[in-house]
Amino acid sequence: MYLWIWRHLPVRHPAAKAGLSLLLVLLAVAALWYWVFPWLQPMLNHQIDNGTINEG
Amino acid sequence: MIRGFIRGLGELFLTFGVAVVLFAAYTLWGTGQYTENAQADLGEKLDREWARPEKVTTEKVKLGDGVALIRIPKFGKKHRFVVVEGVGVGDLRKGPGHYPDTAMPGELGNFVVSGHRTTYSAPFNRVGELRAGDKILIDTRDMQYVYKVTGLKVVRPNQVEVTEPVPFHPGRKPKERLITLTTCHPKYSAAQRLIVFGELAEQTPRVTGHTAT
Repeated sequence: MYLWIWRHLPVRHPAAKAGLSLLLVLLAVAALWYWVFPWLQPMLNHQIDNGTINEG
Repeated sequence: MIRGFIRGLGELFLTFGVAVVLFAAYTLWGTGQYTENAQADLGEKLDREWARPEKVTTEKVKLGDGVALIRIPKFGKKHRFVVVEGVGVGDLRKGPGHYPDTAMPGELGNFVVSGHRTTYSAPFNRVGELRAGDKILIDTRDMQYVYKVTGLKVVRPNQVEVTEPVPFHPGRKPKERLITLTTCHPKYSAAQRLIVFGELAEQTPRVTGHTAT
């Protein structure tokens, strides 16, 4: 998978390739942090930190 | 062909592992941003409401709206949160939440507030350090209430009797004005609950022009 992406990067120079891959990684992390995790987190949090008292 | 498939699978698993670690980091340190934004909105809304000249009834606050401000001076000047009405998962992400069926600030009975001990700005992170006599300040539109801590207790998550008008005595008629804070215990777990009990010590009418932010 990663090898395939590396080969298909639209630049040739090794430094440019490295830079572009770093950018892609950062984009992936940002998408998770600001978009996927905020949506996922409220569904999973209850066993880590739940302060309410209830009958259940 | 097979080798490529296995390599692809391995990369997928590694990626998933890294994502899980990142998610744990997000839960601990990233969720506070959400609470900060929500608190800023709630604070502005409360300001606008409190600044209105004519008296609006505060009897029924909509779920998810701000009811009061809570401050615990022991945790520094910056410890200041808008208490939201409701204790659903969505409410507690925004800040400490007031149990809708319990007393309002200053009323006879028990003003019960629940909050996160960790994650989502962790408003009640350090309540375990509170000792008898420590102050909990509650500000509403017209009054400032000073509650003093009377004790702490660790209970099971289903011990609803701590939220009764007279804690541990369901059905008894309240004669005192109490506050009860609930949060998870131990930290990073939901196995038990840490409860802080307090009673009203002072109340002062608020001078208009106070702000929530």
